[in-house]
Amino acid sequence: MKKFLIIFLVSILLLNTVACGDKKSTTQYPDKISGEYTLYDYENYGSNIEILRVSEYFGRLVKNDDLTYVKKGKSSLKINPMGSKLTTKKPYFIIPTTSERFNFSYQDFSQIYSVKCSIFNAEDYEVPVSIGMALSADYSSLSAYFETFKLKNGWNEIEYVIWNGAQLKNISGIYLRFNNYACNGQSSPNIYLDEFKLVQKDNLNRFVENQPVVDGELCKIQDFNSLQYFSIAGYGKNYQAEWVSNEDLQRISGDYQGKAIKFTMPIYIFGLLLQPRISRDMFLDSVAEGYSKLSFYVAAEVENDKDIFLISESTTAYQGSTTKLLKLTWRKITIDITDENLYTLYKDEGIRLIGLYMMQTDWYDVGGNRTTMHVYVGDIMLEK
Amino acid sequence: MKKFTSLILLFVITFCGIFVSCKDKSAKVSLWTIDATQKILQDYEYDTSAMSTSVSVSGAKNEYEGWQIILSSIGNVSSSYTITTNNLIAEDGSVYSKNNISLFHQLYLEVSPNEYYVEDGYYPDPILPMETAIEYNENIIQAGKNQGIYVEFYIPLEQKTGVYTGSFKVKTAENEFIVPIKLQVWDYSVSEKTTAKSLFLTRTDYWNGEKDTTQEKYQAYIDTLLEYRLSANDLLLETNHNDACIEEFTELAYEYASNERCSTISLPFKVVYTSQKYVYNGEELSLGMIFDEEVCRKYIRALAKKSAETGVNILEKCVSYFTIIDEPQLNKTMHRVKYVSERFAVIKEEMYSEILSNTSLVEDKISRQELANSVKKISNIVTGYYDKDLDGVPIDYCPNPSEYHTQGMRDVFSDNEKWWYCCIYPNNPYPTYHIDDHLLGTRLLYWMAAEYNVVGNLNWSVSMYNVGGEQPEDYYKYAMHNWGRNGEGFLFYPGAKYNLDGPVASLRLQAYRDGIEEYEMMQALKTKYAEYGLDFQSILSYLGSSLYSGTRWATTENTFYNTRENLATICEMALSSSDEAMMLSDMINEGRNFKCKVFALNNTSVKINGEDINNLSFVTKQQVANGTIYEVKIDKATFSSRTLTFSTSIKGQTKSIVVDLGGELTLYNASDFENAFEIYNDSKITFEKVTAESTGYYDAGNLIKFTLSEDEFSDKYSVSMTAGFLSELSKNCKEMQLVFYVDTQVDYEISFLYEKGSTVAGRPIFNLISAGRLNSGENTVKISNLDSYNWTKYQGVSKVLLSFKAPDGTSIYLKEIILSGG
Repeated sequence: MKKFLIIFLVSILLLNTVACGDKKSTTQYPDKISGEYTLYDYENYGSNIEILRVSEYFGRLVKNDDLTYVKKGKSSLKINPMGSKLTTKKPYFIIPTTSERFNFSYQDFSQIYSVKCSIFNAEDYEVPVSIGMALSADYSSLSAYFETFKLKNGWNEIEYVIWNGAQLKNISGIYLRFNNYACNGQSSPNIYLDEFKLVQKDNLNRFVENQPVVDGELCKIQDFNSLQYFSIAGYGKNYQAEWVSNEDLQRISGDYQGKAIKFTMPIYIFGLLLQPRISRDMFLDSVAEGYSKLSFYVAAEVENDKDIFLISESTTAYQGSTTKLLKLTWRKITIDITDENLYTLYKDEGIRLIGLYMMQTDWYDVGGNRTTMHVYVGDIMLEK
Repeated sequence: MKKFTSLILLFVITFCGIFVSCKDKSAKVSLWTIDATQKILQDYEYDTSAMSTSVSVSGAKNEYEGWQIILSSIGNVSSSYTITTNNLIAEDGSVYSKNNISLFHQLYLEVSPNEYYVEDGYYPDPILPMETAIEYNENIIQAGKNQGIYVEFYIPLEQKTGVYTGSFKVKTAENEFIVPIKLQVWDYSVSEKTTAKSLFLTRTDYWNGEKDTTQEKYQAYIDTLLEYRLSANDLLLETNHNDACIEEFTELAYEYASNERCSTISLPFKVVYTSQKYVYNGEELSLGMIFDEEVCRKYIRALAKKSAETGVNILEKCVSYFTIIDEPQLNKTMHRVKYVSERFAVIKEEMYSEILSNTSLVEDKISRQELANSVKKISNIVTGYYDKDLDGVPIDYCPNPSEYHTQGMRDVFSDNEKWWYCCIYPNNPYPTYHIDDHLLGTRLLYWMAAEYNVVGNLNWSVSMYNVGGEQPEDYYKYAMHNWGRNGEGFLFYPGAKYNLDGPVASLRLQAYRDGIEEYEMMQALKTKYAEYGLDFQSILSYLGSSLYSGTRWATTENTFYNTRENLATICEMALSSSDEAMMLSDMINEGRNFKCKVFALNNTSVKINGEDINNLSFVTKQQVANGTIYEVKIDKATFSSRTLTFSTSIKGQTKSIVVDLGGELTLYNASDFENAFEIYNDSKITFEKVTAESTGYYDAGNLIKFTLSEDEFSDKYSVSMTAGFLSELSKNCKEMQLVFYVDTQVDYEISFLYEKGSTVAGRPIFNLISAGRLNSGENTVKISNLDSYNWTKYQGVSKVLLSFKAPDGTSIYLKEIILSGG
């Protein structure tokens, strides 16, 4: 009887609470997660989909209510990657790991072993998806390190293991990048994502080993294995970095041979943040120890004598700059990285990037007119 | 004992629960209504004691017109609401279908402290379709707050003229309201065709907010703009301007040009980067970017071919907006403007000839001559202010509305097709689309456009969803996205949140459409008047005089709606019947003189103040081909009435328009205002009373003579009016006229200077109320609408400044000041 009474009382209390409470369902996010934590279940638009970031010409993301494509609950995220039909840029979107609006903050991935999710491929052909990390709070910098999964028809259980070599304190999101279907005249595949989970690391040390510097090459552009540890900023901005064709590079004179990355910088518009960079996401001392110089090959479409290249360990900390006349000729530029300030700063905990960083500024041609700028970046090297 | 405790616990919990669950039912709400031009803040406590509780709307056929119902929560409990209606019925039994009424739940954005003129708080802007609000459980009145419902009436073309009545039923948890509706349908139809040109830039960011980058979604934005009679800038989301893209664009251009609501098609262009030099003002400068001329020709050819094949003249709607020459003064690209514009003019000439001689263009639907003429007329819009350096360059200026403020400023654009655009600037009292500004400004932009012959409006972005460069997590939260102005860069909100196919519109878009519909009424009148060789410009000026001065608006909601009724009556008198028509024209209302013409078609009777116009001593008449032109001349100082009511009968219905002669006149001559001026801020100006005879300009009386002395620091000379004279102005004064005599050209400005809170960095802020040019001879400067000025803003107007710009030694004579009462 006592039990019955208590159940009865609790039921009344609960009923009243429900009747009077806020009708909006608000998810409570724990301060710290443990085990496998489902960050996104795609049951509602605002906290699951509205906060996603899509690249230009991505395609479409919508909430799916067709239970055929739902792993758990009543809905999932429908993904239709398309891409730009006029370029080969690959479409991607970013799943944030933090939200001011919904009050969660899981950007510290030092204790995250992996990201898991369920992806349904509704097509009868394989759909590749590359998963990597967004490295800055504004989602403008993506890790060149990623893992590609080939999605087979039906449900695919995906686990993306976090690379331990990266500085993992500020992982703002996870990106999913797809092939560009539009540029090949293909229709967009129907993909469904559900149950996006963060997996807390266990006691086992299962991390991927750091990538060592080989022969002083910090980044050999044509060597993809080296490049994958780099991040290339480009999200949501008017510029985008792309690997350029041989035809494009043949126009550049000079002794550098090999592939390059081309940054297209539009005319600077006041208020628009343009900060393309190519940078290595790492603990500086783990790879750069014993080296005193950072060198890189660079060429530009129009002549320019503005300060544009900087070595930067973060966008706000010390920046070493160089002033060079840029032209459509390969130049090798070398920067002293034994500078006392740089040395001091890279010992600080917050430092994680080293590389080239272009200032937002007006780009002037030799006639003094503001213009669009094409900058080509070749190999980046550490030297003793 | 345990049992007893449990019972007590049961009692407490149960009744606590009941108490809590019943709280919702104690939620009380009051209901009031207000017109569609005002923004009712969510978190502001209004004195609603004198507010209306009914909806009263008048409109033309094929017009949308709105009203607002406000639900104010009393207490601290939120409550949901529902609103329903039935068909509206006219006295003769005619039905206005309830399906023509759309209801929107207003959403609010926080306007944080800002530097200009408004209350902080939660401003309404997004309007969510009511069915969507219900589906998403957002039809809620927040505790202690106001909730606006925007009521949109669409009046179908076939709707019978008359007055329809009915009611809304609004229900909340505890309240039920019956809101009476009165809908008056005018005997006039707004044209389906939109003549007001527009380019509203749509590409930016829409995809971020929608999570959808498809052409399909992009066109949903274009289509929604068209619902508001606005045209998008780019039709194709992605193009590299190859032949396939040109073909794709041409098909889209045809599709949109076929839609009468689409007034404007933007001619695409391909940017070419070049090291080509160009000599400008003797200096050799690099052009940097130009447009691909062959691609431009291809577009024109394709559009000409499609137009000829289909009979839809797409080229007629084309304008070019080369963004590579946007804001040239700011971007230092004046040389590029000259080059690009001259090359574009050459291409237009080439294409004109090519189309004329292209016999493969079929002529059964549209002539080659018409197509060729359309190519020649494609305007070349350049944003930015007037620049003497561009004199003679074939461009069509598109400056801020503030650049059209005075007649002198407007005159410099007279050879061009006139456009305007708002981009951060200007601010109230100029028209804006800022969220924290009044909707009347947005609406009146189109009244001003009609009067000043501004044919187009450019908006730089309707979907700039990022906030400070970053995508927000909530697209419905921030009023200020960028650029320091609330609402700058966006007029839409992403519809994806509510699973809508297109974007969510805003109150500001409603105001735009309302203004455009009124613009179309005025354009129809212009055309009709022109058919009879009559002047409509003076009528536009008359209507506008109670709403704005220059391009600064100053009026009240009541005055606006009265003026709108007058406009409708003018339409009904002139346009609603082919057999009967009365047109008021050539109106001059200056000083003590009032003059106008009244044209009446044969068999159309006219009365003034109830008397047959043919029997009035102050009217002369002239018979013309299909009617009579009456000329009305009145000396207001001796005329017995302060108003003239012109009446006629159209289709058996009496239509009247009341012309306000300006109320009681107070004439001040030089002797009266001898002491009404003080030299302002050590300005190098002197004044004295002189006899009229001594000037040789007049035979009798006195004049005040202002003399400008050499001033090395300023080219502007100012006097202020003394407090005594100022108090006359602010007291029941509706209009001020100043009669000057000059023998050389003098630029003048009349400004208000506010007492307090109106300084920035120690410099006073002048509120320019009139500016223009005095030409040799007598000039009357008229400032209307004084009763609409906020005389108490910033603790009151402290000075009225009269400033002159003219060569040293210039004399300016002030003959009289005439104040007209209310």
